[in-house]
Amino acid sequence: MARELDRSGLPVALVTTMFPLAKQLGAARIVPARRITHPCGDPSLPEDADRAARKQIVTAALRALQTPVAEPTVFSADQE
Amino acid sequence: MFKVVHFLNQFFGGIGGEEKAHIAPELREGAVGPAKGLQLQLGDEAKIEASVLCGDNFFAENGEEAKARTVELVKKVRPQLLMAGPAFDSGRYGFACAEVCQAVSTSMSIPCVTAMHPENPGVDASRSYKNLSVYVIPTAESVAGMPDALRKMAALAKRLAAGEAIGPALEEGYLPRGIRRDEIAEKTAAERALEMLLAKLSSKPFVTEIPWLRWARVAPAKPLPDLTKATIAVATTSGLVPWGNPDQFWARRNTKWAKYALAGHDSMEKGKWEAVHSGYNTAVVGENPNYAVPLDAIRELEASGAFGSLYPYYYSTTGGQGAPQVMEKMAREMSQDMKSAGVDGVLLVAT
Repeated sequence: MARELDRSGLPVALVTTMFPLAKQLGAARIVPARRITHPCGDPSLPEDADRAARKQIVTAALRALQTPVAEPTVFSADQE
Repeated sequence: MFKVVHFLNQFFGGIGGEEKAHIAPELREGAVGPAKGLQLQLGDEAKIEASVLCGDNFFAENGEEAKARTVELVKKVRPQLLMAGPAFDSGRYGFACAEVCQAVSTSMSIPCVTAMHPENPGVDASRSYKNLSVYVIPTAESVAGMPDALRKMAALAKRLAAGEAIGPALEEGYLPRGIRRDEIAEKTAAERALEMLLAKLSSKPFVTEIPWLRWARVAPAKPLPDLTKATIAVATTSGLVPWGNPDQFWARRNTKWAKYALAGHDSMEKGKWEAVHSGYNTAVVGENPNYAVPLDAIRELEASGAFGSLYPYYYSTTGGQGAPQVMEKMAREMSQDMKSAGVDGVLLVAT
């Protein structure tokens, strides 16, 4: 789906736990998620930290959307 | 006598070229055009009782009606087999052959044989149906491949007429349909995998049991020039929908997408949303739907001016066991909707 959105000219940040696969399949902007069952955040963390983790992921996605890329690129949320 | 109906377009039917491409399906007695050669190959074992002719444009522009009319005409003859084409590299014709085979085979429970070039879009269309009763035989690009195509079509038709079991694509020579059938193997999967690995390491030929899908490269979209002016939409394949699943998404092999309003929500509250998806434990997202649509974090960043604004709907579908072609089609539809709504960039959350 990410590839088709890109093809239409809309930049897309794909938040996915399976980011190595997303890279292989050619998604352009990829943000690693936490887990399959909870991509944006982590219920094992205290509520504040859980929400902070989610904000990091969204922030990484926003950074990805304004970054030029030539090939599948991973934007880690840990850098936020 | 084993009865066959043959489907062909206006050109091969001898009615005319593009100027006749608008004609609706019509029934003719016996074999028409290339089907005469097909009848020679079939000999006494099968008889082409009738032919259905349809204009390429009529089919391309009135798909559902063309299929319905064709099925109606074929039913009058009550054949035991439908044959279509060969279509070679003609896209409209190949697509029509694939669609007619699917429609006739499902509504009449008979096998169908068609033939076209492997790169004809009809091949992808046919493969997407994964229909065990439809066989697509590869042909050359042009009509120069006619004798070979007719010979192969007739050979398969005769075997179907004789009630023979048809083996896998790679052994029988028709195009693979992406259908996996159970069979008894003498060696375990571990032994077979090791044999393949050893063959690969010593540069010997081997045939994989799980072919790797090849994807066309897509050039990345240009980045957003000014995030503070951008409208961002959220999309998800998690199957997150309003409680009650109003659009009846399927938990697996879903073919539907929808967009749901986020206006007035600062967070995805527990109890108002549910995830419909067979491929992961949806209980965690049910407890906190922000894990799938991170609305609380997005609203916080929106308020702080990190980006322009959030598009007031989120896009949702269920990705579980989704066929790539179906997912691609839904993404294309979503992208059109997004662009007409003024969306600049997308945050897509996959589970």
